[in-house]
Amino acid sequence: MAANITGLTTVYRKEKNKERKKTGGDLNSVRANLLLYVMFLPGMILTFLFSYLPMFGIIIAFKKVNLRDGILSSPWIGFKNFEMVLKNSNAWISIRNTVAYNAVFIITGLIFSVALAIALSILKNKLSSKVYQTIYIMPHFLSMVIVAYLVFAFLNMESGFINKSVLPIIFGEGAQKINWYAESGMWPYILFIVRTWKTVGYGSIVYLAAIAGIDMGMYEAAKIDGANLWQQILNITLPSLKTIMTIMTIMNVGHIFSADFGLFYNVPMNSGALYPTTLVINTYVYNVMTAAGTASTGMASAAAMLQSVLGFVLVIVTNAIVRKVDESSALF
Amino acid sequence: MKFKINLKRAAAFAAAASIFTAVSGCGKKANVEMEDPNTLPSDSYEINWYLPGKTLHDISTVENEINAYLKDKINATVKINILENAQYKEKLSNMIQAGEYFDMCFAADWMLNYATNAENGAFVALDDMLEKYMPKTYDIIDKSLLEGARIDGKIYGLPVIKESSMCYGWIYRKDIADKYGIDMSKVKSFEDLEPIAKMIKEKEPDIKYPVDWNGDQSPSGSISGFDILAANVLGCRGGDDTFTVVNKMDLPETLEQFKLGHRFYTEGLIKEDILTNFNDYTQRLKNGQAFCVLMPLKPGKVGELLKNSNYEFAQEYVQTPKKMLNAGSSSLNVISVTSKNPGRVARFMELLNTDEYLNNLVVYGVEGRHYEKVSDKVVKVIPEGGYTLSGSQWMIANIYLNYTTVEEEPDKYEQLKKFDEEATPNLLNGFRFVTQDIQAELAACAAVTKQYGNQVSLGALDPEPILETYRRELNNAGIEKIKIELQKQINEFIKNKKS
Repeated sequence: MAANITGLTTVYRKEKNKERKKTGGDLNSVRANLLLYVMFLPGMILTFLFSYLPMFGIIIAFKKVNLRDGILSSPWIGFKNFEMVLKNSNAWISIRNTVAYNAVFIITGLIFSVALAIALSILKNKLSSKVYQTIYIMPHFLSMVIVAYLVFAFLNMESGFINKSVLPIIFGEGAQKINWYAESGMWPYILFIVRTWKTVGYGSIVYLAAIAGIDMGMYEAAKIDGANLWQQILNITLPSLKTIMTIMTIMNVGHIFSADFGLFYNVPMNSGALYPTTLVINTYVYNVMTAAGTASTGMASAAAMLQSVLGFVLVIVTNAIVRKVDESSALF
Repeated sequence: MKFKINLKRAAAFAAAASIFTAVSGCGKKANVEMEDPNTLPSDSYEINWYLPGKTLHDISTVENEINAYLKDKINATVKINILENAQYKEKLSNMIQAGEYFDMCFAADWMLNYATNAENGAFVALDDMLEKYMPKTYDIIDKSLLEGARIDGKIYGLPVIKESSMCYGWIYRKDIADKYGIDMSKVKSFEDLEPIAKMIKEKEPDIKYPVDWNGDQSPSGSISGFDILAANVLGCRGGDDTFTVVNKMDLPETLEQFKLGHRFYTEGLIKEDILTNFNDYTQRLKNGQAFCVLMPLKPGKVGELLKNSNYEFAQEYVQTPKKMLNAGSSSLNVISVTSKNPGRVARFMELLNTDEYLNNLVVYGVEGRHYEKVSDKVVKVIPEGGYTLSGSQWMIANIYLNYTTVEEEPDKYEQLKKFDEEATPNLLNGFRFVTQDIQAELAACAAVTKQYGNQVSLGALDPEPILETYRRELNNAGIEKIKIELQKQINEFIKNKKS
């Protein structure tokens, strides 16, 4: 089939290695690629500042923090914070919810984004293509707080659109109102709809870009051979997107233990009655941390650390699996 | 996609980084140099002050006026930051935990966990500063107020000089009560209120939901007479002089109160979205959308709270006045350990408590722009002026320096003093639960209450099944351990008091 992107990079890497051997030594290669290294620098500094430096904060999870002594001199208490976290049934609920929601989001996000990207790429009319793309991407730029109130306008008891207009139309006047913010069973669907509406357009950009990079000659050749549109998608577009789809999925799997805080905190209005289906690790940590002042900082950190460790293990495992299946698709 | 993730991570880690660097930094902080209280400092210092309240549009004018006034007194400028109640609680808790810089803020037992945060070193101990920087305030303040603010032997905040008693009662629409000949002084419970509320819902089309409340103002709240002492649920039954600690959620009467609250909800006497929206009762009263709300009262409360409304309001006590438990910590201003100049902040507090002009400037704003003087000590707030903290003076400083508004009775302060004298004493006054050994359990219980507390108390849901889960979760979180510890400390306190 088509020369895929990773194939290219592998070839490129091999060429590079040959080159290195020829020119001899890493120092020369640094000199030769100085510009590339300079471009790489800001990203590295940011990663160091925001991802490596804060890791020292992990010690909070093993301490009973008080502000008078500061973090470093607060007393060590071993795994007590972790015990408290795991004793709370909400911790397990939040882990379950996080993983389940993200698993669904990863799969459906992939399907919807790719589908949307393909649909947009097929549109031949430039104007309508741009209009649709803009409409789909727009929600991405709304803050979750605003989204939360949009949802509230639909769902609230007194004047919500659904309670006031939709239900009476369906069930007639005097229909039983639904107290949405107390019905935890509804929220997986509500959150799914909100999340898909908000992210699918933005998620499709990367696939649109990849589709734009596919050699048009292949499509023309396929057309001459009598392939219809569906066959072209199945045999040219999708295989060409395979690598990028794998990369995006691995990256998302790495984040499977970290949920979108804005979505799960703001949209359900942090209503306690909804926790069985809306509590995720991030909101759990936040709620614990704000519930009892400094006393709960340690517990919150312990939960957060648990989240990071699980996420880390998962990335390694996923990548190992991917490498077994198709080495060129693995991230590292 | 990738870019978005990175941004989000960056934000999260930036927060984490600031927590780490700031808090670890303040651990080894060298003592801030204390200035001499009697000289005018040469360097100007900006005091960042946080208060909960309603957003005000014209703070800068008042700040300029305050700054001009303070220039020759203590050479300080003031930045007043006002945040909405719910936001205040979260933002300030986060700032405190992150060790973020601010100078001064409002705190109390019911707001920002004054005791816990003080124990954990978030606030500056004022013991040595009181006489040095606030001699006049120290002179006039009721020493029992100061004692009420004592945590672990030290005073971590300056109590607002005000009444120290409280009494729950109704604030209600007087015009409606008169119209139907309702005598609210005979209404002593929510059961008594129920038929009245039903009648009003029927006859007054504008008042769709006659009653309003939050968790504490509902039938299971303070009107139940249960004195909460710790963990939101532990305490003693009202009038229990053996001081037996019980878990309120275990009491049969509590379930009855919850059920009554739920009945109000199913009968449509309480607004339908109470579960997500329970803090706008004052506004609803003002707009004429509600008939009555249960509130902690004191003389003149109704005038303080409900200014500039088109309706007429009155108040009526349900209970007899009682001294608050540790009144000193029910409302105080604290200095943050992150303040770069606690001495200057303390000097500002001294002025707030002793300087009538400054005090009223902070409370009422600028004369002519935010209020008009009616007589020497009586003012009329200009509603469109964009600034007034009247109604919040009990969060600021010495309320006895305040002018009264035209809505209030001019002898409000004499009434308040009398109210204090008449109040029954609180036998547990001075008791302070030391929580060092059970903080993890307290934190866990607080998280549980955060989830279930409003579900049972606000009335929107059938309380029975939820209460069961709530109690089970509290037990898992270690409520028994807290209970035993609390009982032990109370027994000790009573024994020491008697001997």
